[in-house]
Amino acid sequence: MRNRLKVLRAERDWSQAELAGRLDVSRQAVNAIETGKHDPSLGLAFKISRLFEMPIEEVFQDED
Amino acid sequence: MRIDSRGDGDFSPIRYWSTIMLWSLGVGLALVPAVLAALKLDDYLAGGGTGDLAIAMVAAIALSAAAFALWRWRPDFWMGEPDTPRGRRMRRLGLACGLVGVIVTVPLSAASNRTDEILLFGNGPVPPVAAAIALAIWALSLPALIVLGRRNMDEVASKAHEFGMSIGFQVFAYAAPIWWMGWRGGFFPQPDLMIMFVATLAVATIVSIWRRST
Repeated sequence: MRNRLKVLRAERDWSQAELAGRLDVSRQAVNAIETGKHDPSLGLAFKISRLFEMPIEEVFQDED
Repeated sequence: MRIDSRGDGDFSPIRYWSTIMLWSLGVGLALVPAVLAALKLDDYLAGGGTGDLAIAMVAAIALSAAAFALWRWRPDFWMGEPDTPRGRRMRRLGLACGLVGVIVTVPLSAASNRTDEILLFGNGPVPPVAAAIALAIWALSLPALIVLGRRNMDEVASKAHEFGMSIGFQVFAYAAPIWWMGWRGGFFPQPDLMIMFVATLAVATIVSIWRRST
């Protein structure tokens, strides 16, 4: 699954630590999601989309 | 939410884990003055000279300095990890695990004398009262620590932890019957539960760290 997390974060000038703090996860988790090493659970994916105030499919896209 | 400026850069697994390992090494080294201070104070109280007291005091000062340095440069905050409710719970849990590790050694240390093998790391008999206290601490605290850990890990850590634990168990399931049958056939010494436990735990930990780092 691809995601736009890094771009969205950069647009808001947030560091990984700041995003991690807003999501209540570790920086490692944010890094793993951004680099595609971890696909977030539905719960976390919805939390991310709410944080960026956009539909979930605008943050995450299927690889196909 | 409080964030240290050192968290501005992107997360580096190599930097993170090398810092954790160096810090853990520091904790191990800090135990040297701790043990020295305890032994020399024990010697002094048993009628030793002022030399013993002086060494105990120097060791206590070195221990205090090491404790401050370990606190000052503790991982997470120092590396820019955000201060969040979940992170705080995990740090308290880490502290609780360390405390249980220390407390469980107290009855064994109290039951040892200087001519015994070290009861904690030996494999021989332990006085029943010391064993009962140590295993009660372990048996009562571990379930709570495990449940709290599983509830408060974030999902990346949880996934890596579960992967590490499953590989650890698979190593155990592979090796234990081989050792057992080898012993029955007369090829190997009698299976040792603690060796299997330590090996399983080591494999699970290494695989979990590897999983989180790649």
